[in-house]
Amino acid sequence: MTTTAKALLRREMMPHILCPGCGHGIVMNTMLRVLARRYDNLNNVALVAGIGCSSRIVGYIDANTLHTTHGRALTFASGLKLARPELKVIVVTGDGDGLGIGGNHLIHAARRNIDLTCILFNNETYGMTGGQLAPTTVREAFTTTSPAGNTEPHFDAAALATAAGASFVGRGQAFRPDALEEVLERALDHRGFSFVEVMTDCTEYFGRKNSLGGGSDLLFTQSRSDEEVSRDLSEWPSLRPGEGWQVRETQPIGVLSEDSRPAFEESLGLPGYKRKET
Amino acid sequence: MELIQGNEACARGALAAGLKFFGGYPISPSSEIAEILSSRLPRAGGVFVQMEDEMASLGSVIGASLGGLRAMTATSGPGFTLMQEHLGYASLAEIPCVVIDVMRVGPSTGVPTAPSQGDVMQARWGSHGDRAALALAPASVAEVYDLTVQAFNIADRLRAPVVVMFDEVIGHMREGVELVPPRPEDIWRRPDPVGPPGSGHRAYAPNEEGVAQMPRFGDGYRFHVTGLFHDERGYPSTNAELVRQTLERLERKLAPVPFWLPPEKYRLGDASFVFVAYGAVSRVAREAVDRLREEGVAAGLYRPRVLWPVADAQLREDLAGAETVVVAELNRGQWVDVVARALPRSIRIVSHGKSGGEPVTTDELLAAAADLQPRSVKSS
Amino acid sequence: MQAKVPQQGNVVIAGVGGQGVVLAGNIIADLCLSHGLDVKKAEVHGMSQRGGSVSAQVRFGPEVHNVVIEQGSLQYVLGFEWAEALRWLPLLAPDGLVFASSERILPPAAQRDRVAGGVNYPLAAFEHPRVRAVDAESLAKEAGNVKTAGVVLLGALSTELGFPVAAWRDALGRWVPKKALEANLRAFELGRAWQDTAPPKPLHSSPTQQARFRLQLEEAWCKGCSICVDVCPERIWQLDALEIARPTAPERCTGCRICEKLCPDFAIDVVREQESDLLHLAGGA
Repeated sequence: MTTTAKALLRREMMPHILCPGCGHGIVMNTMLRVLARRYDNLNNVALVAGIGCSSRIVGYIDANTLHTTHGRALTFASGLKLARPELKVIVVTGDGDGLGIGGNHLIHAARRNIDLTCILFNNETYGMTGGQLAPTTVREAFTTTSPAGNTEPHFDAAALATAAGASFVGRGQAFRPDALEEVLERALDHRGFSFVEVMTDCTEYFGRKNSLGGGSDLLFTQSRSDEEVSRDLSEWPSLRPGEGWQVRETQPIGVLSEDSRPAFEESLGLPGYKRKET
Repeated sequence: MELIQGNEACARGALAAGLKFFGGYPISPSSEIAEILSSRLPRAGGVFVQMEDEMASLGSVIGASLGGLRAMTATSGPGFTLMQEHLGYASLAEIPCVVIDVMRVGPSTGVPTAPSQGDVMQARWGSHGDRAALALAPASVAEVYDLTVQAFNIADRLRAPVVVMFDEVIGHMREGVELVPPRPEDIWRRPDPVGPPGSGHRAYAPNEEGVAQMPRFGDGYRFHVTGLFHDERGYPSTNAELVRQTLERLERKLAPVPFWLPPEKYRLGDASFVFVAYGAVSRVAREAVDRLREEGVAAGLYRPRVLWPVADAQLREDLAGAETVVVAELNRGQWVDVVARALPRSIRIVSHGKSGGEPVTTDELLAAAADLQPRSVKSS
Repeated sequence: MQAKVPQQGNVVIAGVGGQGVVLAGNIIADLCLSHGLDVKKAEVHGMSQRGGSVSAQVRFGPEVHNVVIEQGSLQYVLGFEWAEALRWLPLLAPDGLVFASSERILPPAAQRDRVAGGVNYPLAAFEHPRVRAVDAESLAKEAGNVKTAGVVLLGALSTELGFPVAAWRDALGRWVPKKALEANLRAFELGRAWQDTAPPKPLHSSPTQQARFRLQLEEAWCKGCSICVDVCPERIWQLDALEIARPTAPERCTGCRICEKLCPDFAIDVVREQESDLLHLAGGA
């Protein structure tokens, strides 16, 4: 380990604004462990975020940090990366930010295969604004704008990114930091657009609205179908076996797809990305 | 001397100013700027990228600017509307950038691509909040070139987004011009960061001009940039006093611009009947002034080159001798409100607004003048 | 000295998802096939994407019918992860051999029901006379790619399972990605070399020499979410009256760091105070 996760924090900014038990904090913790292993300091790392709970985390990290507008982080990040190809640019976005208002930018960044890593924190709701319906909210789930249960289908972020042309797509969970570390490591190693969807949890809104319990209860829902969690399902009587809930159980994690198409920077012949002689 | 189009002059001005990044989205009547830069910018060592929409365009420009490059986008009314949020962002986060708005008739898709000056108020108040705005309005092909260069200078020196707005007439007009590239000493730079990187560094500490002295990203400073109100470290704050002071400072730092790029005063010395006009309309008004002078009317033209910010005192002083001021615009009357606010009530202010996509004509202005019965030179 | 080409045998490769367990099984099976042997291979995965157990069983011989390895007949275990390797000890033949990576991967949920003092379980395994601890992770890093740890163990196995070295290398060439072949071949050699320098006797560890961990709390950052309380396998953490996490029995800490990793608030640091033999080995010394 080159440094420690904690050493990469802006201590004067801590504690962060995330709610008690928020899955985002765990993902942030995991991200920083990965970064701490790779870098002594984050002088050459830029973290670019949109608007929302997940996007706020970049402000606590001692890097070149850019907190942009709602949904547009990938566009700022693209400009920055093309201007300074030597920087490692990581985009932190949420499901509302990256798939709702910013969905267009996600598919186009993936299509261009620009050499960025986009980490999408999927907590299935708009947390910062009070727990409203998101494009990732599963059917039947209660949110502050789906009081009778969600009737809309949800996006599969990883499948969307794959279809749009992302050359690396992975998924992880807040609950399994070691597995997530590996996915993030490989995403950061990848040259081209790497997209990692991380399943995380909103305790205050999504958890409460759906009677899922607190931080650890919600975390354990990420492994509900495994025998690993000894607690019986009956301890969550409110967890209805609707179509939606099965999504979490069947979502694979790990590296879902990877190929070595040329990065956008290569086609532009940017420094460090010179086109390979063929 | 060469015959070139306004949009081409804009692209060439940008290149002469050291443009190194262009992110854009096609829209008439601005598309030639992107088309020209798509071939010339890469040859000049820059990056051209066609983004997926106008929000993405200005977003990418801001990102590139944070990376230290001179960066620009170009659009027209509908796209300009989409860029408003990022104009507000660049303003508060103090990221230099240049936005070209070649105006067409609106609202909405409107009349593509008939000329208009309908975006003047949008440039001022288009993004939410009390944003301090900067907008330049060239009136000729040569001036498009010059003001595009100046836009980059001002953007860098004041760390602010600068809008260069001209109507479709100017954008598509071809004139024989002698473009004079800026000398190296004519290029202004961003304020240098103060001191070395470290915990004591304050990226948003203002200099004596009230401008943040931010480094670029990736130079070891590791600072935070946000669209939230922030302290000198860039860290978010909701402190009401800090918010008030920040708004004041962002407005104050732009105040010198109308003095750096003073208005053109044509036969204004003894004029009691004054046209105020900018962009293509000012060219018509100049001819109207000549015709009125031939008839013995003490007519003059006042042509602002900076539409925002407005120096009220400058306007008052320059137009102190006027009895009647006709503000002629290719819209239903936008900048006229600025003039009315700045000038004393003793001066008669008339709005000559025109929208619909047809240009203002000399005859129209002369007819308007006749209705207003201006005093002749001799009777003064 | 090169061992004799085996005519029959069975091997288990055990690990967790993403380590290349299935691939290693394929390489061995391929090797057997290329020597005219009949091969049966069974795989257990499915939780692999979730960091769960993965294993591959390879049986080979002139003719193989049954795919399942019976108790007491397992000849070789390649453990890509320490605990996963040890699961197979009950099946091991008296002269069987376990090459286990000293790397430990702890799936958080798997830890939840461990009883206090559970740390003795992997330590006890060091005393098993047929277990060889290989620092595969460090050797893989030395080979230039940490993902080649499995091939390090194949290298170690190759010194016992005496197919010709050239045949091993050919089989690797057929199965690993071209661009990673060089690193894999290095890893294979390092695995073989380790066996040459490994202590011939089983490793010992005194149970009194356990690691000591200090639990450090950034009190002002703790928001009392109680995740640490719920995930600690040793049930060390409790919330106090002010809803701040407190370690109630820090001496029971096994250093698994689950609390540290799952704390959303960066409030917990698990600080190692004394190195045990186990961690010493894992660190590659």
